[in-house]
Amino acid sequence: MLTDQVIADGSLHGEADAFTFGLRMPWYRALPLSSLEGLEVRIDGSAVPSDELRLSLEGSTYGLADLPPLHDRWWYVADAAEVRAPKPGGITEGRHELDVTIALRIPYIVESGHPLVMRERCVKVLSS
Amino acid sequence: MTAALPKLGVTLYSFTPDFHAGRYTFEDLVVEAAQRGLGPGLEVIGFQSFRGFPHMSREIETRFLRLVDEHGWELACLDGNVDVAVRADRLLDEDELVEYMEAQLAAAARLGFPVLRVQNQATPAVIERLLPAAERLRVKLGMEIHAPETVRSPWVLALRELYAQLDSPYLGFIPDFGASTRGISPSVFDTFRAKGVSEELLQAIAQRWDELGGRHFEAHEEIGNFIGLAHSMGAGDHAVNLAVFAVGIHGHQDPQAWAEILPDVVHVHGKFFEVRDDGHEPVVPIEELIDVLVAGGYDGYIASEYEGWHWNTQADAFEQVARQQALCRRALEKHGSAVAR
Repeated sequence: MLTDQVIADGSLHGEADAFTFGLRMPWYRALPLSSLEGLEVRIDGSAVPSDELRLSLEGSTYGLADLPPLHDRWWYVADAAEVRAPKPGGITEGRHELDVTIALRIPYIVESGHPLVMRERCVKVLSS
Repeated sequence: MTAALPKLGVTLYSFTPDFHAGRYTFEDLVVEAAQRGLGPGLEVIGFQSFRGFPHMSREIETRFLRLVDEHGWELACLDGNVDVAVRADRLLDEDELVEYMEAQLAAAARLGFPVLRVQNQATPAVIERLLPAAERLRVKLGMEIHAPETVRSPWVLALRELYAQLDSPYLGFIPDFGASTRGISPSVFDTFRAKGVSEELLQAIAQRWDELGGRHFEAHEEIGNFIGLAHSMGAGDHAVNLAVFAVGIHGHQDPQAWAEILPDVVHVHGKFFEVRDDGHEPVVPIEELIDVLVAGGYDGYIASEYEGWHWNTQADAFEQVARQQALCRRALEKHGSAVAR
């Protein structure tokens, strides 16, 4: 659902030892940060270790391991979180293939005690 | 004097792709839908439309209410969510869930919505415990009955029993038209055919959907079976979506069955998938559904809910809602004087 927006258009930027992009949730409504169960990022085919990713939202920055207790911090559906991915030497100026998979727990869809976890993958070629 | 008829309206969920892509803000949608005459009833999803829901800033609430007033909207229904799995480590217990939902009831009351939509993760025990707050705040609890559930699903029967026992006007149901369809929308097949899914598989899915009509089934098991069928016939990445669209949003319930709960209906979701150029919705029997509502004396809102955007991302949702409301209006006009635009 709404997968096209997972990587926000035009949001790829290079830094000295990292790159950043805007991450949107592929869902129709706000969810708490505790719902983000997974994030995998590849650039030009090479994976960035997920534990090195940092997410910034409303002035706070988190690692994925910080998120599970944050069930009262809301990620508003129209907001892009800025993801910062370390990459030694940064990225070259120009076009790059960004491949992002996000896993979201849907908090009101529960079957036999198990909440639904949606995984959506978005691949885009963006210019930095 | 003729009896009052149902009134039309729209849920802004119909325009989710426009909102999500940033083509319209929430406030833009309130204005645009009014200017296109898609009212008078307005339904919104709290967690979609209001930043900070259910504890929005005073400014957000004031701006919304000003727009509602300026554009002649009537507040029909606020959609709550029963987020029992909001925590990562465990499900909320009953006390926590009651507190979680009371905050949404309070938000509905502050804004002036007469109904809060709730979902089936709210057990009868939770609903019973929410009733005092609903009565105090004068907001009705409307339990949505959405495909593949029906008025005879075990959890709905349990709730009907509770409602009969408590006998409060603040307890009700919200039928979703998508629970009573004649088949899977042809627009689903058009979309997946264009993505390269084989005709044989699409026919097998349609046939299996027809077979489900005559018997009780568990949704998650059947979605699993459809995924298996789709995989075995080469659907690849499309298997899960095909299964969810087939089983999860196209229901088999006889439209007449809504009559069983009509005295308790507090709002209606006018779900549809595609109104074609000839002005017809191929799988949602809108005219018959409206006949059932009118015969049962329902005079609340039917909020048009366009959901074809799940697969058809190109359609103009505003145009789709306008077409569906024209259909509803024709069906209502049979029963009385012309329905005001």
